[in-house]
Amino acid sequence: MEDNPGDVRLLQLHLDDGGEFEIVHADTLATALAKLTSAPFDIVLLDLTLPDSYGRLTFERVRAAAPDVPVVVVTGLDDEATAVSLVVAGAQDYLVKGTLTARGLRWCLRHAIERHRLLKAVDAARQREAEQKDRFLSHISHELRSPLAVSLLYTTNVMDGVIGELTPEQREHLAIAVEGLKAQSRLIDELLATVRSDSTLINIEPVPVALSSIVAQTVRGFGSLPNGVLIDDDTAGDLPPVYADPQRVRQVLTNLIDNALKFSPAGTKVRVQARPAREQPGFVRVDVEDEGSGVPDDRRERIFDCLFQDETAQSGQRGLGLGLYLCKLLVARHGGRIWIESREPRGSRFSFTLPFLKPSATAPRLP
Amino acid sequence: MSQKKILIIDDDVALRNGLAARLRANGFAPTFAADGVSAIQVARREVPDLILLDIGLPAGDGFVVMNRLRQLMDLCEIPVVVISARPADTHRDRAMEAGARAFLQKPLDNAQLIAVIHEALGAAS
Repeated sequence: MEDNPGDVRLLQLHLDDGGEFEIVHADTLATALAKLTSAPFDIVLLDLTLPDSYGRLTFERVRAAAPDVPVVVVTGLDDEATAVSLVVAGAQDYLVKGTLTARGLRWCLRHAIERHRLLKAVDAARQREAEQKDRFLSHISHELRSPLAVSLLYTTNVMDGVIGELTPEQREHLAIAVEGLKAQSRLIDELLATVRSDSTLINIEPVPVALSSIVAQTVRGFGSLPNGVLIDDDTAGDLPPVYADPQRVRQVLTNLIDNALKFSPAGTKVRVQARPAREQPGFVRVDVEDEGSGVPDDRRERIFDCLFQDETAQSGQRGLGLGLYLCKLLVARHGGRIWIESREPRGSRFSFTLPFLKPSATAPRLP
Repeated sequence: MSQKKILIIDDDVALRNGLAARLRANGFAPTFAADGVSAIQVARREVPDLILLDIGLPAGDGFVVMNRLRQLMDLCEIPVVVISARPADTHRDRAMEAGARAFLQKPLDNAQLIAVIHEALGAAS
């Protein structure tokens, strides 16, 4: 795609040799896009300045019309910053007019085509791997939860007197059995969530999203709680949007609230609050506070470690040591951080940060 | 007030029976189907007020059943609550898109199940 007849002739001359490339020429973006969508192409050689389009936008329109065709940009502007930004945006290469040789150009195109083919193969393999993992997790989830579902249903049926009257002592014994089964169920949730989020494959899909609605939704998900514990949501509705994966944020928040509830004495409050982070500009800070017994110094340092176990917790409350570790991984993937402050003996406060959506950029770079 | 009829579609007979006992204790009248094909036949015959639907079923999974229900004039209005041991993070959205009123993860929370049923029945009538 090139509108200058002299440049077109030169490129044709460079590429005609040996019949390796078959050239189709277009001199406006409109004709180029029509040709691009009507027949398969191996590569596009693109001049950014066309009669009907200019600069980076030219590249973006071509990419949108044919995302599967590799693009090499050719331009008269010798501008390193533009070159880098286009390569980051997906251009295979960036060539400056007047510096081209026939050999160099052919070499560049061959490599661009090959590189694009390899990238596609890697993407496809990654996709297959993700699908395989989903299938595997779905299967494991079903196999682990189904028998537990039956046991829990029958035990609670008997305990609740659905089958007939019980003595208080019988009911008490069954209540303990039910607690054990519920603890088992939570362990399965935690295990599956962690396997899914395996650090090497941890996948987040950040979008601009209102944090207040995620918080409200997550809090609502807890419904009415046993032993009178209350969840207080103090998040302001007018916070600017964050750039985050809603599902992952819900996962982190659910984990922290779950944790807070576990250590909340009857009739106390769990407070959830989000506000701009003073200690990390450009980020929002979310706090989850409980009124439990707090976490002593020595345990506070290790609480986010993989497989950390709280020895003081009751057996039914003890997790696999993966929940908070998972939170740390997920928050880090968003570029935020997570920490705990103890307000011993008045409870603990878990906090994490997430980036606000930057008004200028559409996508902050993620680590 | 007449008893509301609830169709349980699940291939696990133990779960069906346990759930039926729980539903009867809460004043509902349960009926059953164990696979995707008979689910539609039973739904036609019984015309339940609500359907509890498992995802992993023989002869057409829960999504297939929901699609078929949506296409049938006489059944498309019946509220469907999905009950599944599959992971919620990958199955909840799919179930809701297919038209489910709620996605409940197995093991079921009995109080939540009954609350969701009442809510769905209240909205339907």
